Amino acid sequence: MRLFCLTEWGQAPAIAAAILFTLLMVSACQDGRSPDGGFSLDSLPLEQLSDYQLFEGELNLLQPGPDLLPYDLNTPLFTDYAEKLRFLYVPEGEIINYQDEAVLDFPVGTMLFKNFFFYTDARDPSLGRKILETRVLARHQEGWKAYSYLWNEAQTEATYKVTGAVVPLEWISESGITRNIQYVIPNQVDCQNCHQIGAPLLPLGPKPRNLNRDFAYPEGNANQLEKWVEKGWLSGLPAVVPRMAAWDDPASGNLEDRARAYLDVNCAHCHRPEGDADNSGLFLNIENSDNSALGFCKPPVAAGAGSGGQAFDIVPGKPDSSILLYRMNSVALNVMMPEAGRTIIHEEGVNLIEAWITSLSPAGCP
Amino acid sequence: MLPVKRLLPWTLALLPLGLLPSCKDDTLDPEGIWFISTEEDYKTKAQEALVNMEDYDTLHFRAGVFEFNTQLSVSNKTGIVIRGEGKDVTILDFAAQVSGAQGFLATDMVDIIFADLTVRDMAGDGIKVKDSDGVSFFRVAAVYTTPLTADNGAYGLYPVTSEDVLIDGCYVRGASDAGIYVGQSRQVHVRNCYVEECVAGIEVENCINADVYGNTATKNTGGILVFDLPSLPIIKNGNTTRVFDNDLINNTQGNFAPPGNAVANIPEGTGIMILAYDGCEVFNNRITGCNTLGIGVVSYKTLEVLDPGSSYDDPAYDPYVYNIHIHDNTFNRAPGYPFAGILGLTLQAVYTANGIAPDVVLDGSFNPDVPADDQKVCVYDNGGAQVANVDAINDFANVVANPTSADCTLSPLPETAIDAPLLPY
Repeated sequence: MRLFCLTEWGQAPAIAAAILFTLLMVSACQDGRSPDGGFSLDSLPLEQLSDYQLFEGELNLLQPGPDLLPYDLNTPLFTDYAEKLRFLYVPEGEIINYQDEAVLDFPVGTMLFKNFFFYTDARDPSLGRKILETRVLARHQEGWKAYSYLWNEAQTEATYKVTGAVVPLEWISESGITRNIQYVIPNQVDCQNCHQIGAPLLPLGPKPRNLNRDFAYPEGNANQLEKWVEKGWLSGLPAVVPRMAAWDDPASGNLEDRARAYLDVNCAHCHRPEGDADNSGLFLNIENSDNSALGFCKPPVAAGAGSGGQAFDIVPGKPDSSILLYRMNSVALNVMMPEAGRTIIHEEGVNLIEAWITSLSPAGCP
Repeated sequence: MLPVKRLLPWTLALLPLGLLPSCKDDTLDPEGIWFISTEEDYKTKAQEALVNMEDYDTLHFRAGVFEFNTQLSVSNKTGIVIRGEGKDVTILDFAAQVSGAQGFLATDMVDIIFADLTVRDMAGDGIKVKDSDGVSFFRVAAVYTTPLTADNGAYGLYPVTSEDVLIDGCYVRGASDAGIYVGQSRQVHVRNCYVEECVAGIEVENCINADVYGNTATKNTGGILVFDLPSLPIIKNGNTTRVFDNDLINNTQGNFAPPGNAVANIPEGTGIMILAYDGCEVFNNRITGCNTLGIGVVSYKTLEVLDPGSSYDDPAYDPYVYNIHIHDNTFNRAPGYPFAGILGLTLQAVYTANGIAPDVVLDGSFNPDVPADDQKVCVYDNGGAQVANVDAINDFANVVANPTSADCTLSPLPETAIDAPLLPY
């Protein structure tokens, strides 16, 4: 494991300092990169986002350097209409092993950077944007760890913060509506509550089926997974890779496929057998084929005001009687689902799930 | 920020290099206690401490009102204490909450203690502890000061899917479901608590081995509930709970639970209710003025008949009651109570003649696949209390007063052993 912190590497005092640092397992270094470009995992989290030295030019351009690849997902998590830019870093010489169903098996030293921003006016991106946070997931020897960076008002730097924040935010939406929200940046424990699938922390997005799509790289369009193979990062890519529907693209799947993709990405980090909402017995992961666990005619558990006076999570054919839709369509803290990650209603998501429930053959819940 | 004790070696090592970090924090002392007072940036410092605390550290809130706008959360630590200086003087107030479905959320903890503080006016639940082993609450209050409506948070103190749970000397007011709710957990004690103006005072749901004793539940819709509900994945069927030495007084609050929740079926005027549970001993309780159901013993089958919305699809769930002992309880109830709710109105219809429902009401349902001896409901030595089998499953066709089937005894249940953490100071 590399643990070099000082830039003046050739100087004896610096070497002595580095050795001393190594012996003491000190993690206060501000510059995490060694001369060969590697990262000291023990130095994470670095204090500032710029300390990673992975972006080129002004930091707020989020222009990836040679060690980063941008990627996108077929169906992303809804977070108050935030725009996202995602980047992957894999240490030189390391390999991601392909896994079909689960998140890819990323090597120790991998880092995922997810940047959340809003256009001043979503109808015209040239009017500028405001970056709010950058979430970093780093694969340590003992597992993944989550670090959150808050952007300053001047948009010149993002600083590590464990406590999260509540940031007042105003922007104009794609439909021209001025929105005012209290944007919530989660604290480090809340990060864990979503990302802890069973015992270890795991990334949520980068599963093969959600990554299996084209990306517009500067050198041209390419399938993301094939690009990673080409870059020498991914091995074991099979000829046929499952593909998750894009929730908002009817060309990518039928209504059911898109609804299940949406529920998987937005709900199943908790609502799965190993997730934080396991006690509810409502499992919305895409692999679940048990209609009762999927909510059909299933009474709620510990729902409180979330029941909305209705008896079942999903009443096939009857969206207005379905608790699941009621909770998606609320911003009351003791009603809304998901519990974290949004403060406004995702109207297009609600419309999708409403259409799906409407399309289901009425089972006639009692 | 790190406790001083752990900074010292670093500090010494870095001195010669002139790289002394400026991390010293006056709010910490060398014993691993993170003090938080209202005179500092407590919103940030409290959550920062909850992230950075090392095992066996204490987060100590000084006296005062701390106003939080987000949920506080902690996870994956051992031996953590969260404490105040008394539930009347250390108040964590969540009235301005903008995120989080609880006031306080603790997950995957080993030995966590909450003590001597109040959480107030959460948007949702008060303190939720999930997937933890060793959970203690000492003299903690969870209070909704708002009017009693379905908008109030569901649960005040809410340990779930945990083991070795102790709730001692706590107070809850205003929860729209259960003030103290222990769900899908093992080895549980709830004792010496005072719960008022909730829908359910204390609820033990799908738990294995619980003792509920020395509590006062008053002005709730129902005082103490021992329930097994279907479609819960962690513990499908609970067993073995003792409810003893409790005071159930005038639990006459109108039911304000959001419809769709199981407790929305509890009739106002309920003392103790046992639902679909295996092995419950109810003794030495004083039941005063709970005029609808002093003690009710009900199968989930009956609930399905009365409320079609409660149907379920869960083959592993057993809807019947087994091995229920009800003895040495004192009843002081009166006629004329205005019945309400599905169960209450049904009982009213059955008992209009004299206007008083029996002290102990058995629904009379019976699992045909199990020998009668293995599903006894024994009611004895309750000082002349009236018992009735109301034959609910057959639409109350054959109501039997003081049924001979209840004239039996069962061996006492064992005391529940727990290994919950105690306060270090």
